[in-house]
Amino acid sequence: MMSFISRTVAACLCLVLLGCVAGQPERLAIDPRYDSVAPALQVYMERVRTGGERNAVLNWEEAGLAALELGDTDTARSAFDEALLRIESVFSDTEAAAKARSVWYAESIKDFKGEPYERAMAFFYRGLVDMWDGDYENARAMFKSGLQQDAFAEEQQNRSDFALHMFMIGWCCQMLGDYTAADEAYGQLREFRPDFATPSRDDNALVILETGGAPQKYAAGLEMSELRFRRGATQGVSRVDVRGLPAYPMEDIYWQASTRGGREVDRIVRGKAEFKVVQESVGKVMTQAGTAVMASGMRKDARKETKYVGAALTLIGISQMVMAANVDARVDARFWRNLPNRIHVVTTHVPCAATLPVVFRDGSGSVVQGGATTVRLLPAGNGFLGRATFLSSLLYGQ
Amino acid sequence: MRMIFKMLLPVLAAVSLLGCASGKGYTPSVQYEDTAEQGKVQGIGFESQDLVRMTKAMVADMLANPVLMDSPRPPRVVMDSEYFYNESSSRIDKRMITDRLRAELNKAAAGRIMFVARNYGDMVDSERASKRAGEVDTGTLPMTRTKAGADYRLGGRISTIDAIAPKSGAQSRYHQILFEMVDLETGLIPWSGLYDFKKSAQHDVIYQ
Repeated sequence: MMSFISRTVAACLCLVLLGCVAGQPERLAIDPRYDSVAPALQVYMERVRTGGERNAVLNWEEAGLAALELGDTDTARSAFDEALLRIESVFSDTEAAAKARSVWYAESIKDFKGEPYERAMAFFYRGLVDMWDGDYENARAMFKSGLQQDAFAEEQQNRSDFALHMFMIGWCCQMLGDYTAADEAYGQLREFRPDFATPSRDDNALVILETGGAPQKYAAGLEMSELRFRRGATQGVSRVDVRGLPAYPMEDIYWQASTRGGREVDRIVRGKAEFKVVQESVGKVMTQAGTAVMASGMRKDARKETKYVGAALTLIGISQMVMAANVDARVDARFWRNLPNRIHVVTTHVPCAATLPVVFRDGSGSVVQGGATTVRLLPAGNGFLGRATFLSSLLYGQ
Repeated sequence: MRMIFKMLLPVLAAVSLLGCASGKGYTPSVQYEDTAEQGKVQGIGFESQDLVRMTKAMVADMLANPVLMDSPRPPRVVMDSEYFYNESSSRIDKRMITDRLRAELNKAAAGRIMFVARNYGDMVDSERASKRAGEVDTGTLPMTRTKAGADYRLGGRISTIDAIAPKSGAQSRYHQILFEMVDLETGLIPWSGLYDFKKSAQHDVIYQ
C-alpha cells in the first residue's frame, strides 16, 4: 500500500513539474501589417511573436535592423519604436524582476532591455530612420538619448564615450544649419577621436559602413555567474573606402560592450553563485557525516538512536544539495546578434542622390573577397544618407 | 484506499496543470486613461500629461497678455512648428504641441486672435485659383486680393538636461520649453512663456 501511495504522489509531482516546464512563453500579439513584410523578414516577425514579452526588445531590435538591411524603413521605424518604448519605460518590482533577483531563477528570466551598448545602438538605428525621414531634430534626440545609455557604464573613464553618437549629434546639428552646436559636438568628439577631421560645411552626404559580426556575450566563471564578451567575426576587414575616400573607423562596438565594467546585478548573481556553492558544500559534508554516523549506528554495540541521528543528518544534507542544485546563478547572455563589429563613417558632397563605390579592404590594403560593392545615397532632409554593410546583418539574425 | 487514490489522481493532475496555467493568464486589457495624469507606463521623456498641462498653462498666460489680447483689431498669428525647435534628448512630435496650443488658444480667445493657416497654404491657393478661374463660385465671404499676412509667429525651443547615477540606476531629465511670440514686422517679442518640469526614475537593480 505504501509503495502505491508513494508512486501516486511521485506521479502527481511529475505532472506538476511537467505541466510547468511545458508552459510556452506567451505569444506576443503584433500588428497584422507585419504579416505582409518581405519573406526574409517573416522569420524575425515570427521570433517576435513566439519570443513573448520577455524577449520583445531583443527580437524587435533584430527585426528592425534586418528591415533596415532590406531597405524597409517603415518596418525598421516601427520595430525600433517597439523596442525603445520598452527600453525607456521604467518598471520596478515586476514579477519577472523579482524572479531574476531570486536564487531559483537565472537572470535571463527578466524582460530583456540589453546592456548599455545595445540600448545605445537601438537609439542609433532609430536616429538613422529619422534622418531618412528628414527629421534631424528627433534624430539628434535619439543620438543624445543613446549617448545617455552609455553613461550607465560603471567605469568612469568609459562613461559616455560613444564617439559614434557624438559624431551623429554633430552631423545632425550641421544639417540643421546650427554650426555652433555642431562645432561643440565635434569638439567633444575630438576628445575621444583626436585624428578625426571635422566634416566640411559643404558636405551634405553621410555614408555609414558597418563591418563584422556582433560582440557575443557568454556566461563564465563560478556557476556561470560572470558575463563576458568575445569579439564577433571581422572577416579580415580593417578599412573601408568610399569613392576612393578612406572611411573613418568611428566606433568599435565590441570595445563598447566590453568596457562597461561591472554591473550592479552582477553582485546579486555572484551572491547566488556563492550561496549555491556553500549549500552544496555544506550538504555534501552533512551527507557524508550522516552516512558515517549511520554506519556506526549499525554496529551491534552502538546505541539505537545513533542511526536515526545519522539518517537525519543525511536527509538534511541531501535536502541542502537538492536546494543547491535548484539555485540558478547563470547570467543573462542573450545578445543582439545582427549588430556589427565596427562602424565607419565618411562625409562628402554630392549634387543629387547617387550610388557610390565602396571597397572593403584587409590590413594589407587588399580588397577582401566580395568586398567591392556600392552604397546608395538616399535623400535625408536637405542631405543624403547611405548605409552599407559587409557581412549582411541578416546573416547573423538567422 | 487504492480506489480513493485512483479517483484522486486525475483530479490532482488537473489541479496541478490548472495551477501552472493560471499563473499568468494572457488577457490583454485596454483601458482609457486620463490624459492629464501620469499613465501606467512611465518614462522620463515628454508624455501626454506634460503636453496637456503645458498647453493649458501657456494658453492662460497668453490670454493674460495685453499686447496680444487688448489690440483694437484681432492680431493675426501663425502658430506652427516651423520655428519651434527640439534640441532636447526627448523624441517629440513638435506639431502635437503647436496644434494643441493653436486649437486651445483659438477656442479660448473666441475671435480676439485670428490664426493664419500657413500649413494649409496649398489648399487655400487651390481654392482661390478655382474661384478666380470661374470653376467654382465666390462663396459667401468677400474675396481678397491676397492671402492674409501675419502680425506674429510662434517660435521656441525645447531643451533638456539629463543626469544619471550609474551606481543606483537613477536617471533624471529636466525639460525646459520656451515659447515666444515674435512680431513679424519689428522682430520684437511681446510675449514669452516658459514651461519646465523634471522627472526622475529608478531602474530596477536587475537592469543596472
